[in-house]
Amino acid sequence: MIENSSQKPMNKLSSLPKGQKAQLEDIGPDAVLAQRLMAAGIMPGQEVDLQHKMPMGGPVLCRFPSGKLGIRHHDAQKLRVKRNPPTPHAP
Amino acid sequence: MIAPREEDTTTVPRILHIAIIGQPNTGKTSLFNRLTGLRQRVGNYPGVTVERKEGRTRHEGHELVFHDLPGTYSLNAVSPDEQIAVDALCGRTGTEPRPDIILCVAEASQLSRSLLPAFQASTLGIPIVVAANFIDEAQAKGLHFDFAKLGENLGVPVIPTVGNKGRGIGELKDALIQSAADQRLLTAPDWPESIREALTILSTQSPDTLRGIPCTFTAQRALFDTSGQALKRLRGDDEERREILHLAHGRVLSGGHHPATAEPVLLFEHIRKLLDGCVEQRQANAPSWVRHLDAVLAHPFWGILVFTLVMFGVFQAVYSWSGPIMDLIESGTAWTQGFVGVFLTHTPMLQSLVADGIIAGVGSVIIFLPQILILTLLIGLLEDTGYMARAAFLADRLFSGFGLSGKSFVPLMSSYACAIPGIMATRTIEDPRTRLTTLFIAPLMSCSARLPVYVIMIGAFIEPHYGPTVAALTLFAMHIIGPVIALHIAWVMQKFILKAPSPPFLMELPPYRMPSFRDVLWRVGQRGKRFLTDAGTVIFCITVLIWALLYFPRPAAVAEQTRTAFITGQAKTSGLGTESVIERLQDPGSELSNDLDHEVTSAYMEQSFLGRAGKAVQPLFEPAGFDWKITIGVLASFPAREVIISTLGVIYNLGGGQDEESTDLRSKLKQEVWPSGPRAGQPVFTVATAASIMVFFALCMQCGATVAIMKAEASWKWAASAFVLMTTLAWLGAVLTFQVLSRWIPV
Repeated sequence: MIENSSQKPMNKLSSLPKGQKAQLEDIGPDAVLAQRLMAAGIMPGQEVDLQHKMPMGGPVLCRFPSGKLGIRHHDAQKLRVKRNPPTPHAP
Repeated sequence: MIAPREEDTTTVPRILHIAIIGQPNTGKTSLFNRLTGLRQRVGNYPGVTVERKEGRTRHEGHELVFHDLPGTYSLNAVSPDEQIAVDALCGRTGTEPRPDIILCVAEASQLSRSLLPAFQASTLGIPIVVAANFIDEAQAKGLHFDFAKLGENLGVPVIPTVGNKGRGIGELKDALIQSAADQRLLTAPDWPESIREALTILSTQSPDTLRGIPCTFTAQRALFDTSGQALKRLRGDDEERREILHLAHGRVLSGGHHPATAEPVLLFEHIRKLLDGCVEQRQANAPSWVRHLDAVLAHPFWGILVFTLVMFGVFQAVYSWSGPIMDLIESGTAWTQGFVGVFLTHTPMLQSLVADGIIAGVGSVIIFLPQILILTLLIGLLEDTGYMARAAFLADRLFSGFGLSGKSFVPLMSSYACAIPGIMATRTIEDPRTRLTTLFIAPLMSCSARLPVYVIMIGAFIEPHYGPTVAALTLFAMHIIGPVIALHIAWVMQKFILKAPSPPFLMELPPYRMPSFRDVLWRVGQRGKRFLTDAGTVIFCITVLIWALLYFPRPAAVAEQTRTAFITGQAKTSGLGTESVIERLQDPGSELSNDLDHEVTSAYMEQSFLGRAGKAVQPLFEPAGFDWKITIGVLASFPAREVIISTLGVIYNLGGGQDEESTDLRSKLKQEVWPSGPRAGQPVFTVATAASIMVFFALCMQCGATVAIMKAEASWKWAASAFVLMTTLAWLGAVLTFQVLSRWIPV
């Protein structure tokens, strides 16, 4: 497999430092996971930060506008975020 | 509030079936409880371990039948419980008719996302009523609602409720009856051209129209469902279906949408427009400290510390609160046995049947109630505060590697006290796969009924040889061997047996809430009732059956022969004449006649069907170091392992009143030697035998009640598989232990 080098790598949600606010960019290649997240009210473009990270590859506790969600590490790796987002204009 | 007008509702059928849908944590079940009161029936959907709840109530001359469907974030069904919700809405489960009305329970402070399943269901053409639940919580967060405008925009009535406090229930019932008259549907979204085309393509292949399910619903599910389950409802073979879906997906993509996300994206946009101007954010007045609780309670270190303390408290309470009640039940059973027995002394068989069979059987059922009720109460309260969701998050890492989830923790942990409440607690696990695996391995946790076996074996054979440290380590090992094996069984099951698709595991942490004591007590009552009706009957039957196997055939000659042998033996050892021995036996209170009684009871047990079976299968247990006496004890303990001590007491002529601290029994065990065979003259009980017996008890499912509860919660198939697997494991474990240890440690 060859990585598409023209694509700028984004941060994984799982590697976001605790408390750092970020913007959810892409909810990933896993269609079932994407649907699950959306049904729980989580959409790309929303602000997210990690409240806690469980050690040894445990789940991460994410704060979304629609509430708190624990996401397993391997699922959180599939979600891409952008740090220090520009102040989003009001919808 | 809109009151039902008489002229409108006269055409409404007298009996209305109402399906309740809603996302998890919206308070759906407590609202269902308030709507139906105690007129509920709880069971399983045929063939799957998904709870089916139905409740009835009468309102304004109508009989309202509520069906509480499994909670789903969306109608895109991935797991079996979500599939059930979709099937129930379509009237395809075979257990309930297609609903007349759909009640969507939404969380008021998360209105837009909790309306998603309602909008997905609206193409069914069934009138919908929305309950904006936890309205008090939303108001405390500073949200203000214009319900009239909301109802107008959505097209259906929106009723503010607080399910756990019983607010808005009357208005909700009024609205349900009214909506059956009005047949009001949700304002449909205006799908873009590309989606409309895709839906038209799939509609032509939808066969469900005949059964009253609009083809638009089938088409919509087939188009947006990523798991491929909904696609199977279309006409044609797999190849044809895939082709047509490919065609439809092409159209969706041509409109710039992605098939997996188009539905929620477009529906949320639609919902946002409808809600616009109906909900207003004002000053919040919720206490702020609640928002900071997770900083500690979900913290990797402090959270786990609190969790450990909370769980310790819970199990300590289950153990210590239920102890005195269980003692009371036991002494009550014994008293009743004695009291009734007095009237039946002239018919010994009937006396034994009533006392040792029937009354003991009833006692063995209700003895489990205290632990079940206390555990359900405490876990229920913790669950309704939202804390258990945090606990599942904290424990998840421990279990995810084995294919389980954090929610498996409480059922498995409580199985250390007793597997019965543990297996019943698996109901809190929504995913049926995880639930089945958890309840399957729960009996391998070392329950408190195994403790007496460990105590007597360690006390008699390990501690005297190796001291208290090794004794403690042995006790610890016995408690750890079961779960270690159990987690690997879980891993194998998830990997090779239950291969159905499992949804990605998202752990929603709902806001902290004050639990309703009344709601929880309600659930406790339901559990207790279900245990008595479903498992209780089976436990009772097993107890009576084992009584019969231990009682019959009971030939009178056995007593005579034992008596003659006893008298001759006594005469020889004491040097007295047989006459004086017989004379001494005339006194029923003497030690000598007590000894004779014990020998007769022992001889009867040896001659019973179960005793003969024990002797017959003893060669099978020979490699584990069991003689025929131990084998009978093991067989007699299959309905309830705690009887092993009293059974051994009977077999070793000490009577049934022995407990694990009994020094008589301990010294008797130490004296026991092999009468014949390769080990003739050597002691039966060595360190290796003691260890082998403990391993056998640690791994074996010697508990009729567990079999019964597994059957009630899953199926006969699951109960039988667990029984066979655990018996095999126990035998293998015991043989391995004995063979290894007897080579290392000959005594």
